[in-house]
Amino acid sequence: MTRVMSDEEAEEYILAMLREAREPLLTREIEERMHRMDGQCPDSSVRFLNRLRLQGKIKGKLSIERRGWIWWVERE
Amino acid sequence: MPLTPEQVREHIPFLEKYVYLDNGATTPVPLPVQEAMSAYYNEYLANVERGAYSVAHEAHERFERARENAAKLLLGCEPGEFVFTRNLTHASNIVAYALEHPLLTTKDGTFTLSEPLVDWKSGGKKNIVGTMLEHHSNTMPWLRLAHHVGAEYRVVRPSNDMVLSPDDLLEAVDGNTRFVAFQHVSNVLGSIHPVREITRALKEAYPDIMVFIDGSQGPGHLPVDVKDIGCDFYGFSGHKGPLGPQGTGGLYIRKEVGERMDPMEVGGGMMADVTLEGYTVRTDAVGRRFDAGTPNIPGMIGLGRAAEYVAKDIGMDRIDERERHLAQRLIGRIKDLPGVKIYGPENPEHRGGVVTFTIEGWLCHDVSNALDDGWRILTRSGHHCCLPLARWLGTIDRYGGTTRASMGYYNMEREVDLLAEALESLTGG
Repeated sequence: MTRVMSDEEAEEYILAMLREAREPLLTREIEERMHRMDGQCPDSSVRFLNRLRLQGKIKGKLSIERRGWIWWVERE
Repeated sequence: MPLTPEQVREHIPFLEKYVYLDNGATTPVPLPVQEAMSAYYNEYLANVERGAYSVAHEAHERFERARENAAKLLLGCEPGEFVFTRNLTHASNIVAYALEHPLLTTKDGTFTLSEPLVDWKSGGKKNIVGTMLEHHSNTMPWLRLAHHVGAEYRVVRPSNDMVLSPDDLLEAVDGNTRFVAFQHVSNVLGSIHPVREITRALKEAYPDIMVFIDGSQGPGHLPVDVKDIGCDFYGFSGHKGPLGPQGTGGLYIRKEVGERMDPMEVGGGMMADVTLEGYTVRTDAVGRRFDAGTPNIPGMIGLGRAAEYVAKDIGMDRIDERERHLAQRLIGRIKDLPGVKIYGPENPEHRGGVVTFTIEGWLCHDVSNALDDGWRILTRSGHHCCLPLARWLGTIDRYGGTTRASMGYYNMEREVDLLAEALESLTGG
């Protein structure tokens, strides 16, 4: 069974992933990468990502072209 | 005159802000129900069955009247057969506990065990039967029970149109079956199962079988008569169809069974006598045997008022008809959209107010998030606490589950149309 990460661990991992990515990532892509390292969000991925978005830590919006929500961090 | 959907909406200010289509998860509490709860806090606050003063007497009378309303109006049973619970999960765990533990009582100053409800040990290996369609709260308690008592847990799959039939269940049971648990209405598929026919077929074939029905999506959505159904147990959540407060629910227990059940929780209020060597539980009314500790008095008073609201102020048949109509309206609008797949019965006669779907290429949670962010439409997404079903449908890996729109009497045609338009935008249809 996949390991459920703690809030802090999941947040750190997602922020690092989005900083490294060259373009915004789909929810599905984020989920797949987390599963590859045998981890999953403490909550459903979209709920967790939305929480980070509402906290202002990441950006997110709907992409009809890519068929899902895309997520990124603002480059400084 | 029965309340119209518009009049019910006036009792639910929350609906001005959102298109609420997650009634399968929980429902808003109308103002008359809230007022009944407030009246307890402001006018007659006291504990029940404890004080001898006037206000305590009034609190107790209203609490028992709430029990009577919930029992008769939601389930068609007597108040003595009705247990207040926190929700359906609480109800199923009460039953599972009693099936594992014989009634403990005190005789001549020492604890003695009464004859168990089920003899799990003698004769051949016993079995418990459930179905593939169940909510975790109608699967996990029985899985755990089967493990503890050494019984087999068997799973039935519906053979036609995602609706259980008597034959489906009869194929799974045999002379060693002692307990069968199934849902009245599916919270994922919207299937309305013929629970009366199934129960009667089971009891006729094997009279020793006890039947538990998960009615979480039943009372408040359609008329329920547990005596006509003939089951031994029927549990439901008050915070769904009945429009009662969160943290409320109920459990019907057939009187002859209830008298033999050991309560899961023991403490104040449910005993006949207590010494330092043991105790005996009350036998005056089975329902009260399971009221250990101070109950959720305002919650239960709210549930009683809610029972009146849905059964008398609106009418169960009207609710049933309207929710089915709204579901079919949505299905008609979205079934041909590119990439949309709808799950559940194709025959409208078999489906209540639930429409669950996937969109090819989309994670279900992304769909729900989009509907909220773009249109303020609130739906649920995921496995809906039915992981085995979601895996069986093949939706978990591909879509993360499904997106569900579950109707309430107060939802409007324009809200259903808005959801259809939103899905047209997402799918390019």
